[in-house]
Amino acid sequence: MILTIAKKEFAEMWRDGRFRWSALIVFLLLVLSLSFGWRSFSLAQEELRAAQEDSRRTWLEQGNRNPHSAAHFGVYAFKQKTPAALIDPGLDAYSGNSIWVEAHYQNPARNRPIEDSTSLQRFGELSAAGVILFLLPLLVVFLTFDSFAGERERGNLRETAASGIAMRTLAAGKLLGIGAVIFILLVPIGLLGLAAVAFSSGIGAVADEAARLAAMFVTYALYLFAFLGLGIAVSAWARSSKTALVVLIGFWVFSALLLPRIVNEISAVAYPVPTAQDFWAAVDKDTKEGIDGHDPQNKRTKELEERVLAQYGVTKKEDLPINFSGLSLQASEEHANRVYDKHYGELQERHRGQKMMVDLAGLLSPLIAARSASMGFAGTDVHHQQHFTGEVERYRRDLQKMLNEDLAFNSTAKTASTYAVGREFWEKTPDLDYQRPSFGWVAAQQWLSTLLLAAWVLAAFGAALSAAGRTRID
Amino acid sequence: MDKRILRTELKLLSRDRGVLMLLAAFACVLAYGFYNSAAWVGGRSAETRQIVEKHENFLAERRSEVERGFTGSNEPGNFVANPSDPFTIGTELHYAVLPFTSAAIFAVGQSDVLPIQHGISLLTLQRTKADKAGFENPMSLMYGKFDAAFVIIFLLPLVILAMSFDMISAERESNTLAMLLSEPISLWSLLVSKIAARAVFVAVPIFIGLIVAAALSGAAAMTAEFWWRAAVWLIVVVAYAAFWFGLAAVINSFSRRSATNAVASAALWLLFVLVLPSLIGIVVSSVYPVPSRTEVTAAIRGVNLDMRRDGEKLLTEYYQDHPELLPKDGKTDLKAFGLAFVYIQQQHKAKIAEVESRFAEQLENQRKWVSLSRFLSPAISANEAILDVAGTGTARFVDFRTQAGEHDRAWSEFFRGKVFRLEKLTPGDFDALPRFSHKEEPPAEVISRVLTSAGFILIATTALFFFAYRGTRKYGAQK
Repeated sequence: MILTIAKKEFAEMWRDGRFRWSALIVFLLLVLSLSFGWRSFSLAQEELRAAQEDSRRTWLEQGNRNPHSAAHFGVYAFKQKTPAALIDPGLDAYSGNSIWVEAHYQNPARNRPIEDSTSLQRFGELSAAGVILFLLPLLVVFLTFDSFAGERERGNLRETAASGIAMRTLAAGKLLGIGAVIFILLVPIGLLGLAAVAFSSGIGAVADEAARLAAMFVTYALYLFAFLGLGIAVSAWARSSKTALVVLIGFWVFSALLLPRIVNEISAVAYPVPTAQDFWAAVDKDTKEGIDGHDPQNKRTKELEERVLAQYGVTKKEDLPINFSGLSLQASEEHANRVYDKHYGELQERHRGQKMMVDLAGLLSPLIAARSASMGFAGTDVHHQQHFTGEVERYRRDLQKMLNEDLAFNSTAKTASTYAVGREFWEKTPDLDYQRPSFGWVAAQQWLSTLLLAAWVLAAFGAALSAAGRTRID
Repeated sequence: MDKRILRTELKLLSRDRGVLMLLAAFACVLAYGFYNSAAWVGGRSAETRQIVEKHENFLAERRSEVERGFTGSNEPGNFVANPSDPFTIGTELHYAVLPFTSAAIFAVGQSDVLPIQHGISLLTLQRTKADKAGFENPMSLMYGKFDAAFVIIFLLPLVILAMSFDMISAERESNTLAMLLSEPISLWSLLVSKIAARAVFVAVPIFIGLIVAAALSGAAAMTAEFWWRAAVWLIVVVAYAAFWFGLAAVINSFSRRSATNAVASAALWLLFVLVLPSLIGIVVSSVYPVPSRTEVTAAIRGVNLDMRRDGEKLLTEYYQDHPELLPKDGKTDLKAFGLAFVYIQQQHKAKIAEVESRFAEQLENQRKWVSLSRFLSPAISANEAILDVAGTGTARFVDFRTQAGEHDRAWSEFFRGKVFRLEKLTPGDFDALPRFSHKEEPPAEVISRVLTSAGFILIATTALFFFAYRGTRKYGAQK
């Protein structure tokens, strides 16, 4: 029986002109967003790739230099676009895409694209994910609000009941039928997404991203099914189709507009982020209490000096077979690393705390849960940003160590002022080879949002069946 | 308009618990929006006040040291820079600050992503802490602030549509429309009276909001600036509200079911508030893509100079080209680290300025498009206008960036000669230091721009009411 109802619902929906038109419009918007998004996406992709190569080339071609001068010259790390960012750009516009890798400083990521855009962008980016997350649920609402309330108003429910069909069976059939329509709608959308990714990043990217793209597809499907269940539940519960529609749109407004911003404000109060001034004041304080490579007379340097002199069995730095300032610089880097681990660690914890609060609000808003999961799988969320900055910092520390040790062991106090190394040495320094985290890493972080989405689907389907069981037939 | 209908409607609305709850909720979120903006503006202003004070104190201390004849200390382990050395003062990072207007409470606008402080130094910002900032969570920036502008632009239309999408259709569905129209009233005057009654109700939370805004603004609300800005804000909000009532009138003028009206209302809201702005945004940034800042980075790195390696040679050449910068006694210090550093930094600055100007050009092109695109959606025009009123729109920030850049050049200019001539600063030099204060655009220009937007919204509104009027002439009362 359920199947028969499902088939009828499916056929009815499919033949409905309004459905066709709205599906067409949504599809058109997706095509528009992908084709316009593709242009700025590939431009940024190209620029970032070129910039990374450029940074390495400049580093190799910097000429003869003292290693510590080179450390101050530094290199740049650019966060490359992920292929799935074309579908969900997530935080790409809002997070810095370049880090200056230099001596003494762990620099924050700079250059947020949003700083070079107009106030229009603040209305939201029209990305494929945006269309799916914001517009498609409304399409589902328009498809479902009438499902019980409308039939009741037309007197169909009484007839259906008279023919011995339980309302729950009817609801199950509707879930199945309309669910099939949604699924069929999602298939071309998925193919469109795949085509866009293949077109912009190559077929190889699609294979590499298969797990992520599949997870995004599942996220969207779960999300829309949650709205399907809710739509039918509210339609069965409401007295009229008008009430059903107003309640559903109200819920959409709450979950897509109101709640995200409210939770965002609350999370900023719960986990305040220090200003740049306060942050650096705290770092400077902790650094000064320790060792400073440019100020060799303080306590830590003295200890280091005594240790090194004893080790080499001499009494003056000038008599050392090595360059003491190289060791001192490295010691100060290592102290600074501990300071940075503390302060950046705290900062990132706060960012994650804010994210956790927002993610938990997914309990009240399926949009928040779906958006978090979508960004996570696309590789454009807070976790990925932190992974990138973490890897760059690791690279920076290795590079500094290499430069300082070269200075220490290949020059002496006498040759220090003229000591320089050239291309041969620069070639030996590692190039930044940032590898995005594996799918397993992502999945471990997205369990909450995915679980919440699945819970939404179960709860919504349950509500649909239970509301149908109690619905009045006239 | 029919007075009897208006009175009846007012009475009905005042007894409709749904409507009252909706309006109360709206007043609350509007007040919450103002509260958030006030907290934001207060916090940011306190921060900037602190950093400006810090530098003022620094200058005052160094000045008094110079007066006392203190010349720094080279004592091992306790190095203190010479306060009369132009390098010491010129390279001390400080900030040009864009003050919030007294009406900033009306919109956080772009102030969460665009800096209200701009680092000033003889060095490039890359070499200062100014470029080691940006610790905000990108996720919070994406979700955006819950401010009053958000409430007005996104939620006010929904409140209006929720109250008025079924003004006529509900009467028909409860079979009272035919009865009403049997009296000597036209459908048009019925519709207009109903809208007027609803407008009265919607005005209440807006005025409550305005009072809350004034109360939260504290001393700022005591200025004439606050009130002219508030007045212009009110004009924009009224025009924007009128547009949505006009749209509701058009929707009601077709004899469709309430549910169909609701779908149409939601779809139009989506179109104007979400789809059009973000669609135009993506088109504009694809037609005039602003190159990513990687180019600025490349520009700095293109100047591959090294103090240790190239310092002496560069300085010799520089003094040859600029004999006026030679010290009076003709003796200079080609080995001085500071001199070569300043020289290289100035080269970097020139290069950065060149790239930045290209950025500014492209951004200006984008902004022109946005300015035109406001005529496509009243949500865009109202948003631009409210940001303009609050002084948190892109234009004011771009203007600030330009002014701060000019100030930075004046600062460099003041010190460069002194550095290369190896001069010492006198207390008089401290008094003559260039100081920044942001020059505001004349109010008349802001007002005329905002009123243009409001005027456009009102023209669109008039057109909507005209369509609605034509629609009511063809309306079928029975179904």
